Amino acid sequence: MSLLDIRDVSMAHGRTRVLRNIDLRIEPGHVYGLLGPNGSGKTTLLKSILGANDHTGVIERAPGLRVGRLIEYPAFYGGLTLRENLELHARYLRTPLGEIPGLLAEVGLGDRADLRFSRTSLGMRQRLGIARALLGEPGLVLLDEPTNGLDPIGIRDIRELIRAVQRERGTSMIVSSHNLTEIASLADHLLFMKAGRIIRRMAAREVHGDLEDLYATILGDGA
Amino acid sequence: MRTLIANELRKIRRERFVWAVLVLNVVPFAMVVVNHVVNGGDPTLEGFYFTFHNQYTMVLPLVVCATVAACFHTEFRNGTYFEWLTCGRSRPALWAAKLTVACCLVVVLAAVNHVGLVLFFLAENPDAGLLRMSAAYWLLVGVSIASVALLCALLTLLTRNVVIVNVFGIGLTVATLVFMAADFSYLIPTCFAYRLSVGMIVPDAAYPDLGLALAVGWSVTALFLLLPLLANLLVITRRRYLR
Repeated sequence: MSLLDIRDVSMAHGRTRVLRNIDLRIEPGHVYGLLGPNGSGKTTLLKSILGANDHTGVIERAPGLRVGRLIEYPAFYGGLTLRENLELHARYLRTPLGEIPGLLAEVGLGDRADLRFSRTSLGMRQRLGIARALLGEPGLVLLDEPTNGLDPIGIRDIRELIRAVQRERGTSMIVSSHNLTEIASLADHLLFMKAGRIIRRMAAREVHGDLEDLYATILGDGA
Repeated sequence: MRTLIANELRKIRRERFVWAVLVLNVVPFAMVVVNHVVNGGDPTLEGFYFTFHNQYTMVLPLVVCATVAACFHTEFRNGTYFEWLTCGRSRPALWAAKLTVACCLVVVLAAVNHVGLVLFFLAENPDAGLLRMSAAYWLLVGVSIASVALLCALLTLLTRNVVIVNVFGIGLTVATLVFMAADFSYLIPTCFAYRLSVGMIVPDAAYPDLGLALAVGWSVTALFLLLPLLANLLVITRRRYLR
């Protein structure tokens, strides 16, 4: 049974059509890479999955599916510590607070639990965002450009973290990015978006040759 | 709801604005006490308390605006507005919890002044009429909070700018100051709160036509409650305002 069944989803901001007739099925245990330039509708699609915008069409979730997310940037309360921020969200989600120390350790922040969020680096914030996305053991995790703004070492670290999480938990993920190299190493399936449409779908194993050329070919020539 | 309110308290417990509004809140009382100590004065409701009541009336709208705006603006300042409203809980409940905490904070600030007033009169003039003073004081505070808080919450959600809301609070304070003595002041809820409450202390300051003032004043206050309430709920439940 699919985790998520998206059928004919469209959305407009004023006169601008941001999503056009999206059809997509998310299966358990797979990682989907959502690729496209800025403004292609990646974040909007993820927000639609969360029910955070007005769209037409149908998005059906599997019964009881919990969806974790890191959308746009990791936003937390600066005056609270990393632990307190996660506890706050765990209370909103009605999930046990006992999983938080383990989560922080899993994302490499176990020894920074009492650090105030305002004093963290971007890399730490991204990690905390991933930790929050994993609260309550979600069946599906949405990660919107999780390495945005990071240096190459930070990008590598986050990529490794996402791989480890997916390997150990088997959680389905949708990871969006405009960086093909990053996504190709993480995802099982690649979805190319342009101007609000999914213009090409392919399995990651079908990717051969120069990745940038492939990206430019698909997104340059796509309809 | 308890969890939501507890979460809102956790968000603001280390916020510095709490101290700022506390200082603003106690300035009128401090000034009146200092004046009393330095210049001597009349430790009666018609003397000491009347002066304090007038000064606090001017500060209270700004205290309410600053507190409510700061509580709601926490989400915009931290960039957590989207996360807050999409955490899986009912959005009206989330909003109500935040407003409850903001209003309770104003009540606590007002209580600080009230404790000071009670202690002052117990020390200086125990027979001054503490019950009458308390009733007048809390009538002022209650009507002011009821008429201003929801409007401030709405302005903060719409403008996402705490400066604009505080400027509104200053404007409201000025309007209160200008119109508080006017016979038609019941059209402005903060002035209505003032005249209604001060009339319990100094009968000459009450409205000449009390019946008309009560009918219109309470109706206007109710409008200042209901219309912003509906607008607030509309803003936080409409998805397009999540951007």
